[in-house]
Amino acid sequence: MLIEILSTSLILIGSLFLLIGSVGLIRLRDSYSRLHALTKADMLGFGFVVLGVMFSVSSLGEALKLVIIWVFVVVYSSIVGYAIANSKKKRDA
Amino acid sequence: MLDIIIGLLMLLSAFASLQSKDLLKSGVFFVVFGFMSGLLWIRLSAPDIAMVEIILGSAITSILIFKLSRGVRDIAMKPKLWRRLWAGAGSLVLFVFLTFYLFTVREEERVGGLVFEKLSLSGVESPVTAVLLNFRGYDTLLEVGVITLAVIGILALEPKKKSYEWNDIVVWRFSKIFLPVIALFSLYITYLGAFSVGGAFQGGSLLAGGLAFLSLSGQKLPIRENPTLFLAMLSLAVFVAFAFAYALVGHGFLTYPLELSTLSIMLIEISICISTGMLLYIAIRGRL
Repeated sequence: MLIEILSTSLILIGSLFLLIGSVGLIRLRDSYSRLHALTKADMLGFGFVVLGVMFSVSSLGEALKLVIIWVFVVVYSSIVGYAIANSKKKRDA
Repeated sequence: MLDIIIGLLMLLSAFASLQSKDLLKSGVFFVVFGFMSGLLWIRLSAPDIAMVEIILGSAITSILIFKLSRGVRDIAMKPKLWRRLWAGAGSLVLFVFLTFYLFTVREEERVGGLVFEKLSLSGVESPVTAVLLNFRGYDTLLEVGVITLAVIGILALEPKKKSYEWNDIVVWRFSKIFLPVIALFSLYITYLGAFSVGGAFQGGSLLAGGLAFLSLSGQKLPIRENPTLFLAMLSLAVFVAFAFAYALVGHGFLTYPLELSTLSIMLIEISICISTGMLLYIAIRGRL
């Protein structure tokens, strides 16, 4: 019971961060501030969701898979964020 | 309830994609549409199709659309009213007909039971792979032919470039580290297709995603032009070779003998995985 509450609240916190990031993506003015809102909130939100899901895995292997997914998402979203900002900078210059 | 929300969002994004004036916006809504249909496939417990839909339908197609949208931005597409009405009426008739059919078809007429009945004859344990590579091998062979021909068309139309225009060192370094991991994982997914969710097209599109990331850095694979083309054409060659080889020894076109079926399906699957990745990579990168 306690574990369920903990896992659900972690997932909820993660979803909240994702929601804030999405609101930032829609509401902010230019590409840089949009990226700033999205990339950070996304990463944190996704981390919380992974932590929350981690309570319901049945084996160590599944938990390891989740961690690998998290690492992939973190690396790729930061690189993609960099690539978008860089192309924007090139276009402005 | 969730299905209805996803379906409504799908309709909305399709409508927005068709109606928006800006091609870039259309592309973005198309990505949303692809993602929503992927979610719907998951809800219909078809994760195989969901994987392909999300990778191909929303990731790789969007890269192609955004690349294209630069060239055709000035052309305004505005179909005539009677044409739209005609298309709408046609789709409505199709929808009504299919719904009617879906609710009247009897349980024993459905093809799913037949597939599970004959599954042990196919050489693989996953029903999806059994249908794709064994029971309906013709269709898959022709699909492979179609994407190969499409890429040959792209290669024929695109002018030859002298060199790459830019070198993004950050993206290049990271794809250098991660591309081998992605390649390994795509082979794993292809191998998994024999037992459960997965398969050659899923693995191949994953590989293509990694290669697309590489081409974002402005650099290319450290192999030459001709081996790349060879790898891209590999699956068609392997597929046709297997089909003719079994036809020549008397089994019939694309009919695997039972004891060799697992091996032949795995070899064809791996070749399709590599070729799909290479073909989509060439389609994104263009001719060099």
